[in-house]
Amino acid sequence: MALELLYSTLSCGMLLFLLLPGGARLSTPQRWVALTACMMVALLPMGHGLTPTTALRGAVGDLSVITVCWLAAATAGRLLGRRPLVDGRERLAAASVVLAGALLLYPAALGLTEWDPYRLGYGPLLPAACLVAVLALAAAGYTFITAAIALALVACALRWLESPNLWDYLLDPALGTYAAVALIARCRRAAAATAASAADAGR
Amino acid sequence: MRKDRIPGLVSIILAIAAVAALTLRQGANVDWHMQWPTWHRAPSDAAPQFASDFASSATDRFVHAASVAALPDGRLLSVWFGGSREGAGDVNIFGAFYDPAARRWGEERVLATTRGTGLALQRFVRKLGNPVVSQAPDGKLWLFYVSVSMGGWAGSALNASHSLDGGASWSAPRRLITSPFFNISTLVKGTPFYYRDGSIGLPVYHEFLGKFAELLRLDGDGNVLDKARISHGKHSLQPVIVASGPADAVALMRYAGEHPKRLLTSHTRDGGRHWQRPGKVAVANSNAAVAAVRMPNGAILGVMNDLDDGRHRLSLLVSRDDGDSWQRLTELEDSADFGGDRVPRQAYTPALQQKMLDSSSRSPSLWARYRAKLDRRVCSDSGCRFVFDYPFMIQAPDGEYHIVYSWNKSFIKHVRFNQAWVDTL
Repeated sequence: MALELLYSTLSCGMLLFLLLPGGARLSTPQRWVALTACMMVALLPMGHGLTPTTALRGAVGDLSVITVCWLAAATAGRLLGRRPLVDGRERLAAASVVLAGALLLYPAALGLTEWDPYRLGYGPLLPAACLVAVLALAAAGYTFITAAIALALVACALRWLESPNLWDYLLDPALGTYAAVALIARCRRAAAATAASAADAGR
Repeated sequence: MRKDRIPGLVSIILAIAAVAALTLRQGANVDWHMQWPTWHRAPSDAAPQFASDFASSATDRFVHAASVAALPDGRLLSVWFGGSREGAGDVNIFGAFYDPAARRWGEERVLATTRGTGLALQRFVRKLGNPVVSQAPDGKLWLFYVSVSMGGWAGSALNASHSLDGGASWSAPRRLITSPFFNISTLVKGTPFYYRDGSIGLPVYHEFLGKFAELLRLDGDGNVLDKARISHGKHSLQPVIVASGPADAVALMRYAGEHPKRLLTSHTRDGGRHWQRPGKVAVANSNAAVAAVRMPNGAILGVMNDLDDGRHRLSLLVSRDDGDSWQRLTELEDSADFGGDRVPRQAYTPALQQKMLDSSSRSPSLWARYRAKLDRRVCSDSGCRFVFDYPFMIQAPDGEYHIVYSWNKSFIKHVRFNQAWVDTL
């Protein structure tokens, strides 16, 4: 329970830090202070035994390891003043992998089909598929998503979280939604850029 | 080697080690043979016996979703949820012991609270729901119960607690992660059963977007090992699994679809790993929970609201063809005089009093306290109604059958009888 609580406190603290209004305009020392403050707020008693961390945990459960890697990369990028830490090509690959996984998992796991892909997370097939993905993504030079999947596998093997199911270390609905929104936004930007360059060429 | 290749290489090494560990852990052979037989043969010269009582004793609570377990020392433990209303924040999980020597239920006591559950799980918990209690062959007494952090019952998650001293004390509850979507929408109602290797088969169901049934496989420590989908879609829930051999079983399910409203069944031939597509059978089911056990003669004894609509009649039925057809043996509860309609309070009160007096020797004292509180649990401005639902049935090692169910959402009623009594029907 101590490890789970540490994990969920770090998750909640980083989330608060990244959602902090005006956080990007702070100086580097102020950002460190803000992050420390967010971690403390995550543990702030709100009465009835509740803290922001336990409230978040009650609402959405434990965030997946890949989500926490994403939060950690974004937090590190903001702290170091190098936004974004993970480049666009890496982010596109990560979002694509996450969205593909989410589309495979959620509709069927929620009862749409007789086949339940969530069950794969209890057996050896999904870890093997993840290993293949790690090899392929590493060969293609996608460091971030490769490391995130590897960490998810390690966390599941060590049973960091309450769940014994590998899917819960790889994905969560918030991450799937974020990936979908990020990809849609990217497509719209690409379409707008294409239209603008076509207009320029026509002049 | 190029420096930028190092993180990828480290990731690959970590991934290989983790997959090897997971494969060793998860690839271990799981025995899908159920414990068999599940029935207990009673002495053949026993006289027919039938008795009833109330397991709960509070008169001002909404109580619902009872279950019962037979303990090794011969006592029974029944658990249910109760509070000011279903879904209220003050709902607790209550339990009471039945003393077979004195033939009476003891005082009810709180087994789990919303606040205690939230503190133990380190997360916000808003309300509690269905509990199921089960005596494992290894001596552990398991309590599985539903809690909700957000939303209605569709937001349910399962918690597990166990007792090593026959229910005197309980471990802190732990959360079972059973769904990838915020771990919501897993509820429990049906009777757990056990596999040959000591692991637990826990029938569960989902209510978010779809309504479908699943079988959770837990190890002897309550860790989820696997799950199998019994049905999918929007119409089946609250499975009860009745074995007919080490690998064969039928799941009986409440039907939540359109007319004709009929009980659903699905069969497995491999211990629950795979299930056939569910189908309707020839007995009415008014979107209500069922309970069932296998009798020593191979037939299934079932309890259900065999009605197209309403829950004003609770019947004992038998199926001799593994759930395909059913014959009503008797009615445990009936309010046919009123046909399930709401009844004016003037007519309702004496009928309710009579049913209560028929139910328990303790009824006169209970009635005196209860009659002043015929509130929204059973009455509204348009009248009052009878509701007998949510049965849960076991057969104890001495061969006696025990059924607990919600009696007008006001009491948990316990009915016990033996095989000789069944044979007279």
